[in-house]
Amino acid sequence: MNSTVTNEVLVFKTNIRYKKDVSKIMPLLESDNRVMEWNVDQMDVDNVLRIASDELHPTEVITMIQTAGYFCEELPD
Amino acid sequence: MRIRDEAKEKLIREKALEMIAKQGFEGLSMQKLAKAAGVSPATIYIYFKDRDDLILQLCKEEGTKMIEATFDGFDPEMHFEEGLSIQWKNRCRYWIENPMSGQFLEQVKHSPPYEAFFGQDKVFPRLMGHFMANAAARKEVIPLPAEVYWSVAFAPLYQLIKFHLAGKGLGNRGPFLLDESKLEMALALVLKALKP
Repeated sequence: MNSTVTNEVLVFKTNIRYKKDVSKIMPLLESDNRVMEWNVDQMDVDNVLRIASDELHPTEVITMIQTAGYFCEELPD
Repeated sequence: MRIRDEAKEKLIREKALEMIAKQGFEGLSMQKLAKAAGVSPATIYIYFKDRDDLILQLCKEEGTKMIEATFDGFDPEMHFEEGLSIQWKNRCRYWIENPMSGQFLEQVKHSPPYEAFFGQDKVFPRLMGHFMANAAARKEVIPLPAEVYWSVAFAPLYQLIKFHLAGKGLGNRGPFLLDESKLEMALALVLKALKP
Protein backbone atom coordinates (compact mmCIF):
# COMPACT_ATOMS: atom_id res chain seq x y z
CA MET A 1 0.00 0.00 0.00
CA ASN A 2 1.16 3.50 -0.81
CA SER A 3 1.63 5.80 2.13
CA THR A 4 3.10 9.22 2.76
CA VAL A 5 4.16 10.89 5.95
CA THR A 6 2.51 14.11 7.13
CA ASN A 7 2.51 16.22 10.27
CA GLU A 8 0.61 15.00 13.28
CA VAL A 9 -2.94 16.33 13.15
CA LEU A 10 -4.77 17.38 16.31
CA VAL A 11 -8.55 17.62 16.12
CA PHE A 12 -10.90 19.33 18.58
CA LYS A 13 -14.61 19.86 18.90
CA THR A 14 -15.24 23.53 19.71
CA ASN A 15 -17.83 26.29 19.64
CA ILE A 16 -15.69 28.56 17.47
CA ARG A 17 -18.63 29.21 15.23
CA TYR A 18 -18.39 32.55 13.48
CA LYS A 19 -15.72 34.61 11.75
CA LYS A 20 -15.43 36.88 14.78
CA ASP A 21 -14.74 33.82 16.94
CA VAL A 22 -12.06 32.62 14.54
CA SER A 23 -10.41 36.03 14.57
CA LYS A 24 -10.26 35.89 18.37
CA ILE A 25 -8.23 32.68 18.46
CA MET A 26 -6.18 33.59 15.39
CA PRO A 27 -3.44 35.59 17.20
CA LEU A 28 -2.94 32.78 19.72
CA LEU A 29 -2.35 30.17 17.04
CA GLU A 30 -0.48 32.38 14.60
CA SER A 31 2.05 33.41 17.24
CA ASP A 32 2.88 29.83 18.19
CA ASN A 33 5.60 28.56 15.85
CA ARG A 34 4.85 24.95 16.72
CA VAL A 35 1.60 25.32 14.75
CA MET A 36 2.37 24.37 11.14
CA GLU A 37 -1.16 24.84 9.84
CA TRP A 38 -4.59 25.38 11.39
CA ASN A 39 -8.22 25.94 10.44
CA VAL A 40 -11.72 25.76 11.84
CA ASP A 41 -14.42 23.84 9.94
CA GLN A 42 -17.23 26.37 10.08
CA MET A 43 -19.41 24.30 7.74
CA ASP A 44 -19.79 21.40 10.14
CA VAL A 45 -21.79 21.18 13.37
CA ASP A 46 -18.79 20.37 15.54
CA ASN A 47 -16.85 23.50 14.51
CA VAL A 48 -13.77 21.35 14.39
CA LEU A 49 -10.44 23.02 15.07
CA ARG A 50 -7.71 21.24 13.12
CA ILE A 51 -4.05 21.82 13.89
CA ALA A 52 -1.06 20.29 12.11
CA SER A 53 1.84 20.16 14.55
CA ASP A 54 4.44 17.62 15.60
CA GLU A 55 5.30 19.33 18.87
CA LEU A 56 2.09 20.67 20.36
CA HIS A 57 0.30 18.58 22.97
CA PRO A 58 -3.53 18.46 22.88
CA THR A 59 -3.82 19.71 26.48
CA GLU A 60 -1.84 22.84 25.55
CA VAL A 61 -4.29 23.60 22.77
CA ILE A 62 -7.28 23.04 25.06
CA THR A 63 -5.84 25.42 27.65
CA MET A 64 -5.09 28.00 24.95
CA ILE A 65 -8.60 27.90 23.48
CA GLN A 66 -10.36 27.81 26.85
CA THR A 67 -8.36 30.84 27.97
CA ALA A 68 -9.81 32.68 24.98
CA GLY A 69 -13.27 31.78 26.31
CA TYR A 70 -14.25 28.86 24.07
CA PHE A 71 -15.26 25.28 24.56
CA CYS A 72 -12.58 22.86 23.36
CA GLU A 73 -12.47 19.09 23.59
CA GLU A 74 -10.13 16.70 21.86
CA LEU A 75 -11.72 14.30 19.36
CA PRO A 76 -10.06 10.92 19.73
CA ASP A 77 -8.57 9.27 16.64
CA MET B 1 4.77 12.35 12.32
CA ARG B 2 1.87 10.46 10.94
CA ILE B 3 1.55 7.82 8.22
CA ARG B 4 -1.35 8.37 5.84
CA ASP B 5 -3.46 5.28 5.36
CA GLU B 6 -4.59 5.50 1.75
CA ALA B 7 -7.11 2.68 2.07
CA LYS B 8 -8.85 4.61 4.85
CA GLU B 9 -8.79 7.80 2.83
CA LYS B 10 -10.34 6.00 -0.13
CA LEU B 11 -13.10 4.57 2.04
CA ILE B 12 -13.90 8.03 3.41
CA ARG B 13 -14.09 9.41 -0.15
CA GLU B 14 -16.38 6.61 -1.27
CA LYS B 15 -18.80 7.07 1.61
CA ALA B 16 -18.85 10.86 1.22
CA LEU B 17 -19.55 10.48 -2.50
CA GLU B 18 -22.44 8.16 -1.72
CA MET B 19 -23.92 10.53 0.89
CA ILE B 20 -23.80 13.52 -1.47
CA ALA B 21 -25.09 11.44 -4.40
CA LYS B 22 -28.12 10.36 -2.38
CA GLN B 23 -28.89 13.48 -0.33
CA GLY B 24 -26.93 16.41 -1.73
CA PHE B 25 -24.53 18.57 0.28
CA GLU B 26 -27.00 18.85 3.15
CA GLY B 27 -26.76 15.08 3.54
CA LEU B 28 -23.07 15.29 4.39
CA SER B 29 -21.99 15.85 7.99
CA MET B 30 -18.62 14.76 9.27
CA GLN B 31 -20.25 12.85 12.16
CA LYS B 32 -22.51 10.86 9.83
CA LEU B 33 -19.65 10.28 7.43
CA ALA B 34 -17.44 8.98 10.24
CA LYS B 35 -20.13 6.52 11.26
CA ALA B 36 -20.70 5.34 7.68
CA ALA B 37 -16.98 4.83 7.07
CA GLY B 38 -16.39 3.22 10.47
CA VAL B 39 -13.77 5.78 11.52
CA SER B 40 -13.72 8.55 14.11
CA PRO B 41 -14.50 12.13 13.01
CA ALA B 42 -10.92 13.00 13.95
CA THR B 43 -9.65 10.53 11.34
CA ILE B 44 -11.52 12.35 8.57
CA TYR B 45 -9.74 15.58 9.51
CA ILE B 46 -6.37 13.89 9.12
CA TYR B 47 -7.07 13.56 5.41
CA PHE B 48 -9.25 16.59 4.76
CA LYS B 49 -8.86 20.09 6.15
CA ASP B 50 -12.58 20.63 6.50
CA ARG B 51 -15.94 19.83 4.94
CA ASP B 52 -15.39 22.29 2.05
CA ASP B 53 -12.00 20.76 1.31
CA LEU B 54 -13.53 17.28 1.16
CA ILE B 55 -16.28 18.46 -1.19
CA LEU B 56 -13.83 20.29 -3.46
CA GLN B 57 -11.56 17.26 -3.68
CA LEU B 58 -14.49 15.01 -4.58
CA CYS B 59 -15.61 17.46 -7.28
CA LYS B 60 -12.10 17.50 -8.74
CA GLU B 61 -11.69 13.75 -8.65
CA GLU B 62 -15.10 12.91 -10.08
CA GLY B 63 -15.03 15.72 -12.64
CA THR B 64 -11.62 14.62 -13.91
CA LYS B 65 -12.75 11.00 -14.15
CA MET B 66 -15.83 12.00 -16.10
CA ILE B 67 -13.88 14.20 -18.53
CA GLU B 68 -11.26 11.49 -19.14
CA ALA B 69 -14.00 8.94 -19.81
CA THR B 70 -15.87 11.30 -22.14
CA PHE B 71 -12.85 11.88 -24.39
CA ASP B 72 -11.48 8.34 -24.46
CA GLY B 73 -10.46 7.66 -28.07
CA PHE B 74 -11.92 11.01 -29.16
CA ASP B 75 -10.14 13.34 -31.56
CA PRO B 76 -11.46 16.87 -32.15
CA GLU B 77 -10.49 16.55 -35.82
CA MET B 78 -13.05 13.78 -36.29
CA HIS B 79 -16.06 14.20 -38.54
CA PHE B 80 -19.02 15.45 -36.50
CA GLU B 81 -20.91 12.19 -36.86
CA GLU B 82 -18.00 10.04 -35.70
CA GLY B 83 -17.10 12.38 -32.84
CA LEU B 84 -20.64 12.52 -31.50
CA SER B 85 -20.99 8.77 -31.81
CA ILE B 86 -17.82 8.18 -29.73
CA GLN B 87 -19.02 10.65 -27.13
CA TRP B 88 -22.36 8.93 -26.84
CA LYS B 89 -20.70 5.57 -26.31
CA ASN B 90 -18.18 6.98 -23.84
CA ARG B 91 -20.75 8.89 -21.82
CA CYS B 92 -23.10 5.91 -21.85
CA ARG B 93 -20.42 3.52 -20.60
CA TYR B 94 -19.25 5.95 -17.92
CA TRP B 95 -22.73 6.63 -16.49
CA ILE B 96 -23.81 3.01 -16.52
CA GLU B 97 -20.58 1.72 -14.99
CA ASN B 98 -20.37 4.50 -12.37
CA PRO B 99 -23.96 5.24 -11.31
CA MET B 100 -22.89 6.68 -7.95
CA SER B 101 -20.42 9.06 -9.61
CA GLY B 102 -23.09 10.09 -12.10
CA GLN B 103 -25.61 10.78 -9.34
CA PHE B 104 -22.96 12.78 -7.49
CA LEU B 105 -22.24 14.95 -10.56
CA GLU B 106 -25.97 15.54 -11.02
CA GLN B 107 -26.18 16.81 -7.44
CA VAL B 108 -23.17 19.12 -7.63
CA LYS B 109 -23.17 20.38 -11.21
CA HIS B 110 -24.46 23.87 -10.40
CA SER B 111 -22.60 24.24 -7.09
CA PRO B 112 -19.75 26.72 -6.49
CA PRO B 113 -17.09 24.04 -5.78
CA TYR B 114 -17.91 22.12 -8.96
CA GLU B 115 -18.10 25.26 -11.03
CA ALA B 116 -14.73 26.29 -9.58
CA PHE B 117 -13.27 22.98 -10.75
CA PHE B 118 -14.95 23.08 -14.14
CA GLY B 119 -14.03 26.74 -14.64
CA GLN B 120 -10.33 25.99 -14.44
CA ASP B 121 -10.46 22.79 -16.48
CA LYS B 122 -8.77 23.27 -19.85
CA VAL B 123 -9.41 19.89 -21.46
CA PHE B 124 -13.15 20.02 -21.91
CA PRO B 125 -13.46 23.49 -23.50
CA ARG B 126 -10.38 22.95 -25.68
CA LEU B 127 -11.51 19.63 -27.14
CA MET B 128 -15.20 20.50 -27.40
CA GLY B 129 -14.53 24.00 -28.72
CA HIS B 130 -12.17 22.67 -31.36
CA PHE B 131 -14.54 19.87 -32.35
CA MET B 132 -17.56 22.17 -32.69
CA ALA B 133 -15.58 24.83 -34.59
CA ASN B 134 -14.38 22.19 -37.06
CA ALA B 135 -17.85 20.76 -37.50
CA ALA B 136 -19.30 24.23 -38.09
CA ALA B 137 -16.54 25.20 -40.57
CA ARG B 138 -17.04 21.97 -42.51
CA LYS B 139 -20.82 22.49 -42.39
CA GLU B 140 -21.37 19.13 -40.70
CA VAL B 141 -23.73 20.59 -38.12
CA ILE B 142 -26.37 23.33 -38.25
CA PRO B 143 -25.64 26.50 -36.24
CA LEU B 144 -27.56 26.54 -32.94
CA PRO B 145 -27.36 28.30 -29.56
CA ALA B 146 -25.26 26.14 -27.22
CA GLU B 147 -28.13 25.12 -24.96
CA VAL B 148 -30.35 24.14 -27.89
CA TYR B 149 -27.49 22.13 -29.38
CA TRP B 150 -26.78 20.36 -26.09
CA SER B 151 -30.43 19.57 -25.47
CA VAL B 152 -30.77 17.90 -28.86
CA ALA B 153 -27.30 16.29 -28.92
CA PHE B 154 -27.15 14.83 -25.40
CA ALA B 155 -30.40 15.08 -23.45
CA PRO B 156 -31.93 12.08 -25.31
CA LEU B 157 -28.91 10.00 -24.35
CA TYR B 158 -29.14 10.93 -20.67
CA GLN B 159 -32.87 10.17 -20.62
CA LEU B 160 -32.22 6.70 -22.04
CA ILE B 161 -29.50 6.15 -19.43
CA LYS B 162 -32.00 7.13 -16.72
CA PHE B 163 -34.48 4.56 -17.99
CA HIS B 164 -31.71 1.99 -18.05
CA LEU B 165 -30.50 2.74 -14.51
CA ALA B 166 -34.08 2.65 -13.21
CA GLY B 167 -34.37 -0.72 -14.95
CA LYS B 168 -37.79 0.11 -16.36
CA GLY B 169 -39.26 2.15 -19.16
CA LEU B 170 -42.48 4.13 -19.44
CA GLY B 171 -45.58 3.14 -17.51
CA ASN B 172 -46.04 -0.57 -17.05
CA ARG B 173 -44.07 -1.69 -20.04
CA GLY B 174 -41.75 -3.72 -17.88
CA PRO B 175 -37.98 -3.79 -17.81
CA PHE B 176 -35.91 -1.52 -20.04
CA LEU B 177 -32.39 -2.24 -21.15
CA LEU B 178 -30.34 0.27 -23.12
CA ASP B 179 -28.57 -1.97 -25.62
CA GLU B 180 -26.47 -0.98 -28.60
CA SER B 181 -29.32 -1.12 -31.12
CA LYS B 182 -31.49 1.30 -29.09
CA LEU B 183 -28.53 3.58 -28.59
CA GLU B 184 -27.81 3.59 -32.34
CA MET B 185 -31.49 4.18 -33.10
CA ALA B 186 -31.61 7.32 -30.95
CA LEU B 187 -28.21 8.54 -32.14
CA ALA B 188 -29.31 8.25 -35.79
CA LEU B 189 -32.31 10.49 -35.07
CA VAL B 190 -30.17 13.03 -33.22
CA LEU B 191 -27.68 13.14 -36.11
CA LYS B 192 -30.51 13.58 -38.57
CA ALA B 193 -31.74 16.57 -36.59
CA LEU B 194 -28.33 18.21 -36.28
CA LYS B 195 -27.02 17.73 -39.82
CA PRO B 196 -27.71 20.53 -42.35
